[in-house]
Amino acid sequence: MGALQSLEHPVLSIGIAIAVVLVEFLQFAVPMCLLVRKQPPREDLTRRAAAAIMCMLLIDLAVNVMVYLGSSELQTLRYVINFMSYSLLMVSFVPAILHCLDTSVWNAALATTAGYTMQNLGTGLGELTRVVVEHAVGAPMSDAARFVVSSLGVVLVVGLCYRPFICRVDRIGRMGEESRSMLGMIGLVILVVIGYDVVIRGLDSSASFGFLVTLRLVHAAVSVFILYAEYEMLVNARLKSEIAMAAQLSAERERQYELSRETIAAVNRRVHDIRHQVLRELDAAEVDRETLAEVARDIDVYGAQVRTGHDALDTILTEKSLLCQREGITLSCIADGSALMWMSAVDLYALFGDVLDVALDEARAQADAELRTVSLTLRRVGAMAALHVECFSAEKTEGDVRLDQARALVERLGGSVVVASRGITRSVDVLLPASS
Amino acid sequence: MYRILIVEDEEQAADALRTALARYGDERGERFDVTWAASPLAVDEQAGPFDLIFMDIDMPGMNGMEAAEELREHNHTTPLIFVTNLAAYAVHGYAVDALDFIVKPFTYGDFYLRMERAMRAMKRDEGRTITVRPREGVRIFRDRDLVFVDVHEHTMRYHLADGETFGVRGSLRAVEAELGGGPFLKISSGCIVNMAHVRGVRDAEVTLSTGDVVWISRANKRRCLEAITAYVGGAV
Repeated sequence: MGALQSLEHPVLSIGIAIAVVLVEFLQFAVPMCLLVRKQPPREDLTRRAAAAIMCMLLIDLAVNVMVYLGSSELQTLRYVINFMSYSLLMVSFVPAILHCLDTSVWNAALATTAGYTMQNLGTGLGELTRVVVEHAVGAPMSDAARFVVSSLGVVLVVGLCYRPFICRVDRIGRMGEESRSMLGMIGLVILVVIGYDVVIRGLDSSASFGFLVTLRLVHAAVSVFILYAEYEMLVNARLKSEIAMAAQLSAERERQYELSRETIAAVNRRVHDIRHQVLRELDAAEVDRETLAEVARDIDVYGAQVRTGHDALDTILTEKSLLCQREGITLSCIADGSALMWMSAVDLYALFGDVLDVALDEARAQADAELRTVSLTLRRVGAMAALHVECFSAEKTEGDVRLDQARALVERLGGSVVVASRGITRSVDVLLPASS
Repeated sequence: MYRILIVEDEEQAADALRTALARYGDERGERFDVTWAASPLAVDEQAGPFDLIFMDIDMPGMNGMEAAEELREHNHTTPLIFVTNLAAYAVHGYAVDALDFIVKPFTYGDFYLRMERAMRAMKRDEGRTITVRPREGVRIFRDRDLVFVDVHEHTMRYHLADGETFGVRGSLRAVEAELGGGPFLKISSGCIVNMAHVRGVRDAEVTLSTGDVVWISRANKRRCLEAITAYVGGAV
């Protein structure tokens, strides 16, 4: 028996150590993953994610070993080692996220810092509970109980943050590349959240109960403030890109108006000529078919103007119609702009741009010019908006990145996307709510 | 055999449609009975009801959009495809629930793509009758009138579009087999909906044309949302 026990003991403790490291890893990884779950994945996600998780586990293990070795050092040195290790762990999540998902570095930084802050807030609350319980009972808590309490703290915090924070971050989506204030946020989280936590843990044995509780409460307050500030930052970044987009749109619209004006003026001049020509033909008492065909071509330009009742939709559809006219692609649009009135110009422009560009590429790829035709309909069905884009499809096209982007956008807005191939035609269907 | 109406004042354009329809019928093994009317007022009602209508927009007398509005007053479902010189007019085709439009002069490719869609819509509309035997006697109705079936204490409750409800003993599995796909989709262990009656989807909550609200079960959510998207969009 004695021999068995001595054999079992090290195996068990290594097993427990591994389990502890894994659970601690999940404490970081789960909130971070929740924050980036709506971002579009890169190709080969499974392989990439596996590689990223392996790397992060190795880094996590290294950090644990460093902290373990550091625990025998002098207090100041221990602080430095812990501080550096945890900072390294947090920052290395950024490339791991970028490796798996097609997102901006600022989104990855936001997920990392916010995820880390949630984890820290959770374990901090766990520690606070422990301090209070130990004070009440008068005996120290076992390591196992301590671990369970801090893990529960993380679960609680992630649960509490789910609706007010995580879901809102999902809805706002991607940050522009110019969100440099995020860099400051990373620094702040490293300094305040990690540094502060390390210091409190170090003080543990020496500080009084009241002081520890106060420190923990301040730590929690700072963490909550950081989450709030990050959310505000995301909203601001989004507003900025909306403004930039709006400016681009209004420039686009101006161009469109300019274009309409020029076109109409040109057509009016032409119509004036035609009137005289027709009168002359009538005088000659014979109608030339060639001349009439020319007339028909001349008034074709009227067809490129699209008016759906939604400015951004008009702009994108007119733009694509003109492009199609130039390239000899037939594009028919039936569109009820009112069904997507609630959608922001940025999102709408992106969605229609992506879906139409994929269809236009398919049309261009057709060897037979007769098959270069695309149909788009957007209609309202009850409280839903249904977009259907159909075209001929040369080969079984693999998933297009633009369709993945469209899908990510639509799913963020609570809709769904279906791509259906049947024989030589293919369609993309998008179903969205008709109001926000 | 599908009955098709062409409303078109120019005989040449009507002939182009006839030719395209004949070629499509040969290629796809479909048979069409085509009726041509030179104006909406000259439509021979004896030849109807029609399964598909091609309507010119720019006609003297009554234009195609007005004619379509009149048509929709008493017929909500027949697929309608506009044929037009001016694409700009047709953008508002949604107002009369037009399926699509074709710009004249059209190529066979232009026609084929839209005809494929019209065929899907016609096949969907063909409909069939469903026979159910509740205790109070036999009920026969068209599948399009069935909005959803749910389970209440081992009773399968059929909800019809006119608000009528009746129950039959049995299992939802048997009902599902009996209804057999088409517009019918099982969204949870207790509910089958007719996708033609879906008017709103928010998260897992489905609102039906009767105002009833039913829920998609978590395990089925993605599959059901995709099925509804494809059905409502017209991909199937």
